[in-house]
Amino acid sequence: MLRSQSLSTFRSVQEAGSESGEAGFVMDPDDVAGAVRLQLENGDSSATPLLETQLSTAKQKGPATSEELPEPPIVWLRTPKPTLDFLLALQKWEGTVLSKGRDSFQARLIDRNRVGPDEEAEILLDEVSEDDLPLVTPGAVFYWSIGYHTGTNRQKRRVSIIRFRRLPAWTEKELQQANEQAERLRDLLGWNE
Amino acid sequence: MNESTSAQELLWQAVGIEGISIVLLGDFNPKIIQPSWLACQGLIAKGEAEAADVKIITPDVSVFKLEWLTIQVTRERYSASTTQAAFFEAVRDLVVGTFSILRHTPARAMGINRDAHFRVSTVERWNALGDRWAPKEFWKQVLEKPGLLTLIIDSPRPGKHPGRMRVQVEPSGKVEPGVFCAINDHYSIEKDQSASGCEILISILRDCWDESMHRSREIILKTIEESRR
Amino acid sequence: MERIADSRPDGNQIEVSVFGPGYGESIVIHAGNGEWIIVDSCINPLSGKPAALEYLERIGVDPASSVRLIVATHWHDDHIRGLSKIFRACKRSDFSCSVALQSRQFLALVEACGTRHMMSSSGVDEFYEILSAMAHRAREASSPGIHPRWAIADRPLWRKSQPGANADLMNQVHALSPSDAAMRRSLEELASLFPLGRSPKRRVMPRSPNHFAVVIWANIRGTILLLGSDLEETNDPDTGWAKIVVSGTRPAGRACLFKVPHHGSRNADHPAVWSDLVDSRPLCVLTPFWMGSAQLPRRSDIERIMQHTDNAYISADLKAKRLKRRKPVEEMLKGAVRSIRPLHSSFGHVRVRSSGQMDPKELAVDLFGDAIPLNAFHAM
Repeated sequence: MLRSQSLSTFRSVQEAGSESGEAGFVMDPDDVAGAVRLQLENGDSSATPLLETQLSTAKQKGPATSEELPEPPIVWLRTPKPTLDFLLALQKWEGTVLSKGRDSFQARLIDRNRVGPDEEAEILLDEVSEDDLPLVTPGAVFYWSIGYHTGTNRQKRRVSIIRFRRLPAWTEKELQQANEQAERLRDLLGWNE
Repeated sequence: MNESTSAQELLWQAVGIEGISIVLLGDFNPKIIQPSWLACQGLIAKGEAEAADVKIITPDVSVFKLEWLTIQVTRERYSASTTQAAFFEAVRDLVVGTFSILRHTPARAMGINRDAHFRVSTVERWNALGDRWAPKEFWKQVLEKPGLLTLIIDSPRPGKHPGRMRVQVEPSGKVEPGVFCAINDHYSIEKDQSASGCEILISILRDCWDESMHRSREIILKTIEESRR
Repeated sequence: MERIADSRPDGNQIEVSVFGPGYGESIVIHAGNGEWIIVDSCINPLSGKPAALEYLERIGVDPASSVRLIVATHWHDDHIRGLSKIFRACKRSDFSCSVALQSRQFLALVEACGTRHMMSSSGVDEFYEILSAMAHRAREASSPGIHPRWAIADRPLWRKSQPGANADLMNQVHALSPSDAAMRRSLEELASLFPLGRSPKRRVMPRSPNHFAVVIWANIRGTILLLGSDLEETNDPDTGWAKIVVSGTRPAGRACLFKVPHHGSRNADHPAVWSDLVDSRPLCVLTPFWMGSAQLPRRSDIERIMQHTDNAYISADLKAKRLKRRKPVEEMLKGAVRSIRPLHSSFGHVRVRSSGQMDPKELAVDLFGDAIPLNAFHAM
């Protein structure tokens, strides 16, 4: 097989419209920012303050020479960058908090690897991030993964990550819909008689 | 652990990098979707929002990164992705949460995407795999030294939601010798459902996530198994 | 090789089979002539299937045509895992559960906390699926409405005469609970579990004591069974076992087989149950339970039960056999947890059969899987 070079064009991804794939690995965020900068310099004026500095710098330099700016159509060649930051999970659980103690909490764990039975554990609160501590209440759902993380510096380390699920709070509309659905169900089943 | 899951766990050890992304196609307002808004809605922690790496936020495009998440939004396309397996479900929850709040967003299609770079034991096996997927006899008649650059296979998806599956395989640029395998599990909305498209797609994401992940994992495992022949 | 029950009872034989994996329980009753009753559901951890369905299929019984009654004694996780599959499979069966589950409060809770908002717990999920199946049947049926047999104290749930038998041998199943007061407490609990606006989304965690529990009294061909579910003694004369023992409208008779309630816990024990509701030296069966540091039955519970009978069995022994994962995972676990144990470390089946037309009190007991005599249980 040949070594690959994935071709990615900012415009063609947009124009194609039908691709719901090729998401995170098509556009490097820095490439996107660069592409937008180029659009602005070509006359698109919808800039944020973030880009004004670059824009004014470009203007100060004077008109772009043909050596500085590629002619359209613009083709961005994507080269694989070895600086990807990734985590491989050896084991994943989905947990529910049963109770909270002074320095630990009881939880029921469902094995997401589908290898072992459900388990119960007393987990130390030290394992939970500061931001997630207020979320440790009975009924709260969390994800627990143990695996290896490789950073952008290619250093590998074993990690245990507990992350509590965050969903929007209940809205009055959602609760009202639940009540309405319950009434419809009772009517359908003939339980309202 | 039964024998089958044990064998699968062993096969999965060939995976070097894996990632997922959730992509929505529709009409979006990129400047709304930024870290501070996510934190305000309780979808990420305040500290995460403060530490976010914001590349660009304009009415036309929003791109930012958290430690575990990359969000890219244009007027036609929303994408949330991660290469950290510990956060796959968190990405799903974030998308569900975002579009539960922005439920009137016109959305017409969704992709639940998964990909992996896995190792092949020898260069010979790696080349043999490419030859099995794309036999070269014909191409040698018209090209010198033809090689497989990428292969995409498309198929309707089984089940009650309309859509397709697309599998892409190509040499890995990250793991050598290795294969990059990407699965696009595509869901689309019928035209007459477009007004509630976002709600429909989010309910599909909630209900079909496990099944989609399982299916894509099976495809990757089969590909790994094939590479060992 | 582990023994597995794979023979069907004779037409005249009564059978009571109790399954328990250390989390959950399920009871399957043969009422004679190929008619079956299922009370609650649990999952066989080895196969992942509902234990009751798996057993019936293994002994060659077609659930679709043979199961006459399904009872969900309450909606808590440990008693109804897999029940929706059983409901869908048993197409000709009546369904019975606490009258409190008919309420707006319960249905609203199921609608809110079911799969739609990703806050599902298996108890709510199972009922969500059962209600969906009921709705589907209601849409397809020519006569609208699906009407379970709502269980409330002293109400008959099922009656069937035996062919050629006299009236005394009519098969009957009664609910002995919940009482009116328990029903009211149930509704209050359901209302309190319903989320408030702007509250965070969490899984539903049912409260204790369990006011929903349906105690079953069954007379099958003259053999009386008392299935205690998870009913606890609340020290409130209007609820719990105290209310049952003083009831003047419950069926007469004493049970020769007693499924001890709430895993043998002291909270579920009432002396008058032993003196008034069951025979002297009854055959007792119970299932174990382990959550956190709470393991049931405790040693003191076993001693208390053995004072009333020496004929007692338990569906599983709680041996802490953990699945060892890969070394890096185990090493990280050691540092992160104080304790970890599997929920279902074992699974067993206590099968009780009568010899048919002879003295119904001659009950033959067979133990399968990890089921053991109660006095051999490794209690804490």
